[in-house]
Amino acid sequence: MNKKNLNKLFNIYLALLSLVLLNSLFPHALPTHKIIYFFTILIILAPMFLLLINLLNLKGFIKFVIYLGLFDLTLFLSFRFLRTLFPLPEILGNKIIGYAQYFGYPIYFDNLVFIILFFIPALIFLILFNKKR
Amino acid sequence: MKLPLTIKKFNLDTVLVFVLTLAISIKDFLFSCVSFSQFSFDYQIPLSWYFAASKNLLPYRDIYYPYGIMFYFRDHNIVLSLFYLILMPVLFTGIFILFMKLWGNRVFAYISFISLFIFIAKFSGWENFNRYGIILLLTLIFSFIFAKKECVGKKMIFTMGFITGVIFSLVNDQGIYVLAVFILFLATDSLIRHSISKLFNLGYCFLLVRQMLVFFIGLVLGISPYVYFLIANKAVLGFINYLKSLLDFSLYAKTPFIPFSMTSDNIFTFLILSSTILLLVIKLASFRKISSLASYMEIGIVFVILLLEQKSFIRSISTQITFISFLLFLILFYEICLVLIRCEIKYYKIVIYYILLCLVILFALSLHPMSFYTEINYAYKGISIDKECLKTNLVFLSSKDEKYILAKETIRKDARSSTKIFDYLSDPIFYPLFNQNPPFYFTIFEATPEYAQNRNIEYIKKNKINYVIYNTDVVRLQDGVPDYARQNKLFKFILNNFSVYDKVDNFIIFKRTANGVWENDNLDKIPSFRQYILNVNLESIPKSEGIYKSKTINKLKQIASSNSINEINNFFTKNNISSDDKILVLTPDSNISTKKTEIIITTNDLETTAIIFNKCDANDQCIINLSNVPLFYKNRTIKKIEIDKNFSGNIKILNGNSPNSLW
Repeated sequence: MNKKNLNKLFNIYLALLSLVLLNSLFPHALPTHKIIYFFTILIILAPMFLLLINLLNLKGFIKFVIYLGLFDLTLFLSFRFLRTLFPLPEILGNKIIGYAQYFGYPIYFDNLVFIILFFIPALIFLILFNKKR
Repeated sequence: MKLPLTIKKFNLDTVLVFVLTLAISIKDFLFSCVSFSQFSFDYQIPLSWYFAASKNLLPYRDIYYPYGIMFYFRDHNIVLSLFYLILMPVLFTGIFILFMKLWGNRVFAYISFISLFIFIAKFSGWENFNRYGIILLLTLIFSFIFAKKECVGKKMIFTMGFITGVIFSLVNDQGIYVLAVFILFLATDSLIRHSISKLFNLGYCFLLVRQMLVFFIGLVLGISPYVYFLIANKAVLGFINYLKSLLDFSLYAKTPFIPFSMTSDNIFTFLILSSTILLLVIKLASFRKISSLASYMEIGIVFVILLLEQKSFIRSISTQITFISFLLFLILFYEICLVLIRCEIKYYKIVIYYILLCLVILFALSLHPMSFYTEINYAYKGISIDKECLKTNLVFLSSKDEKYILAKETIRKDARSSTKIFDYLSDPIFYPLFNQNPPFYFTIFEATPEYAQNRNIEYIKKNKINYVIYNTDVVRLQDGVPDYARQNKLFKFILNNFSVYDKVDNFIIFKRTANGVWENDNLDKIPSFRQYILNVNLESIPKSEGIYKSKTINKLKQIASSNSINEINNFFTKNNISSDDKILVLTPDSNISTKKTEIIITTNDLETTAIIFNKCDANDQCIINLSNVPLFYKNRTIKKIEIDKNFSGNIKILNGNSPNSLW
């Protein structure tokens, strides 16, 4: 992309950001509040997307989004099932009965899911990036 | 094109930031009294700690307080007050200096600082910043030190150790986090700069060990005044026990986090965290090296957020740590800025972009403020403020919610001499109301382990407590775990030694009697409570006990075993079987179609109790210790057991003192 086009694109981006900011002054004015919230997040993340497109090209970026979406969807839909794969927490010597022991919620399940959630985008990127190379 | 360097001498800026933030700190600390907006469980706890501090109760020895002596005694000790007073200016000034170092440009450093300042004022609150800002600033300083030099000198390492020791002494939890961050940097520095192969170099490993040793010498020196303080106050053992009990915290306070994490605060933190991790990987993949100051800061703060988010798995602290995510965003923008400069975007446009982005986050992302207080009364209160401030809060409480005062009056009217009370772990505000020292563990979560229950029983006995105030919403207030499961020993002690005296709103007032709630139809006074303790839901406990402790119960004497419930009931008819030390073991021979199994036990005095629990799989044991079922807190003779029609399998009754490991 040449400098002129880049500058033009940047101006449009600034205008969009200003619009988002203006909209925040009237938070309940629009009925599509959630969509606008989602749109705001996309706008904030735009430089990240551009960086990814630059590194993976557009096709690679679309693949990245699809893989990430599919992974998150699978995780979301199978959350309850995955939970049952973990052993029930044991009631240990101090006779501690909290939420986990009473309802049988695996203690470190959330931690594992949490770590996976944050490192999966990086892993998908690495796979796609190395493939492109 | 490069970012225009505008910093020549920034001493004046630093002084200005220090003076301004000191003014805010003075106003916030000396001239304001925080009035709590509501008296829910979470807000009563800090108020009770203020009260305990005003009574000179010492953390670790007299009261459970996990946040260190600086926050606890800040209103009662002149030295700690001064420390607290300069904490905020030091944190802000430190962050400001590091912004200057990062950007090398006054305009961007100021935009970053001002937006962070507004963010903290709008969302996080000064008190919260004072606490979590410590780990944040220390992480930034460590990043700066490690990024600057390949091999950090001994003097510097020693100083870092010493500072960590001092922080640990004043604010324990932050000290532990700082230690973790130092270890992270020490361990990953070579990975960031070189490659993993350096770790296998013997000379390098020796250097790491030496650095660690120097750090710990500094740490020990930093802690030594605190150790002296603990020895002088006979609190060493209490402190060691406190450190040991930290491990239990994750066991008793764990609640599901991921299913409830979709708040705007969490989404904001998650996005920044994911983006930073992705960016670090991109830099590593593209440039093979990530040893810039910004990268070190990013690695450090990502680690801090991941560390703090582990607390979210216990109780959500998403709102408290959004300012750390925001600071990470500001550092991320520095990287974006470098790319934009390379693309020759004009300087003024980048400035506008930065301001717009900060404003969008501040106003368009619907982040939540820490709504701890409704009003702050600005009037000079000075050091030792809390007696007046506490009074203000208690007066406010009586005007806002009468039930506390009504409960107090009900007890006062009845009591001829002693009006000592025990709050059943949900409304500690009663201790300041009765002007009575609280027990060591006065909140529901910390009082969960058996040693904590024993300590509370000891408190009741030692102080000759005559009244127990029990909030009937206690299960809802906590995490849905009923008292007969969470605190069965304490609950048993109370039901066996206190009987229902009165009910004020949702408070049941128990009064000390010889036979507890079991005499003269005492429980009939409050049918809903009777229903609660006679319809027991044990959820996963019998199943979990069966999985882990089936070998343990093999040593116990079997007094009856059959596949037919009628045979078991015949045995009960022929023999007088007392409920004491009896363990019921159910082993289904096929999979049960329903999710839950229910049994009903009738006693000779025609009392019945229902026990519901999660079904066990075929051939797995479900173990129920009958001594832990409220009806059998008092020894009774079992007459009959009825069991779910869906159940087919073996029913066993075991006798003998239940092994220690069994619940």
